[in-house]
Amino acid sequence: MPAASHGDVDLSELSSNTRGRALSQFLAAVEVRAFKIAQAALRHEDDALDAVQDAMLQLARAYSDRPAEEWRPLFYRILENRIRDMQRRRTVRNRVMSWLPFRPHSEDDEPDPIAEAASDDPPPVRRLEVDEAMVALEKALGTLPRRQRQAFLLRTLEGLDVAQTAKAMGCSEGSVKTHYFRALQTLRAQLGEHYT
Amino acid sequence: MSRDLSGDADFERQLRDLLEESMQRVGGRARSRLNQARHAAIAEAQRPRPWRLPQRLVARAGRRLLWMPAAGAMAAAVLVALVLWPHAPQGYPAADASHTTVEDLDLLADREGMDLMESGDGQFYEWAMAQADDKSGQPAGAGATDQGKTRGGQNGGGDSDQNSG
Repeated sequence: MPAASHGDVDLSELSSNTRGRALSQFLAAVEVRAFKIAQAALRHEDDALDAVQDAMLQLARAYSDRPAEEWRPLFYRILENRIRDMQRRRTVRNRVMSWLPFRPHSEDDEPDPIAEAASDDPPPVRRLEVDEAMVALEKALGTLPRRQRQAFLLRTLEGLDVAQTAKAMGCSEGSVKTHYFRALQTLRAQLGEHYT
Repeated sequence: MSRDLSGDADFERQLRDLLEESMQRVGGRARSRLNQARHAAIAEAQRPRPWRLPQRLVARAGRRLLWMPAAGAMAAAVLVALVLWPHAPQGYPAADASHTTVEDLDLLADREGMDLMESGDGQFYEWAMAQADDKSGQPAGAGATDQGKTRGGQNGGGDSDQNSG
């Protein structure tokens, strides 16, 4: 069956381009938040970037034909699966490394000046305050159970509603509320001194 | 337990502001890699893919395939049971139940046949037996009287009484 066409314009091509543009806009809107979520879970910038890249590719490969309103929960679900895979792999790698007599020097351990470069420069005092608060928040997030951290970041950082968060986490809306509430309680207990 | 709900909301807002601000400060290298990843994903989405079955159909077929071994084993067991099941002795074909039932219905519906059976007149049956003996080459036990009965029998059960009389 020939592709549907209208004049010189190939409609299937047009549809593909439109879908590509919509997907590009969606990914551009979520990529930095997704990176921050992955970074909070993995505590490693390169691993976080790898996880986000894999999630983007997987979404484009398998779900780009789905309605655009389904992309957000699907994307975060894929991302969470990738994060979990990487955490498991890292656990195995750490166990293997612990048996080695010495730890090989890794280039990843050296600070990368380009990576440290910020996109914009706030005033130094404010920057210091944000740095301290952010370090404390990341530390507190690291102590949260995985599901609580996931619920907190998807609700607070990504701004998903309860239903979308439940879809992204693969659990009920009641579970999302419970995880989110407990996460807030824990964070408040740990970060209370930073916030009035 | 009393909770400061406004304090909770304020705390959430502060955390959100902090996270938003931290996003603004993501480094150039990370942004560059995210940009590259996005373009790779778009290229992946726009790449023509070979035709394939929808994923839901594939998943459904896969679930069905999981049942195939069980279904095959069940079919084999039924086949073996049919082969090994003790049959009726050879030479005695089983009666066709449906055919027999239809014949029985015909007999029951035939008013004349019922009259014949209920009359208790066995002459017709004697004639039929004699006919069978003749065809098999055995000497018939019936004489001229039997022939007369035969003629009467050929006219029907009710007429035979008149012929014999």
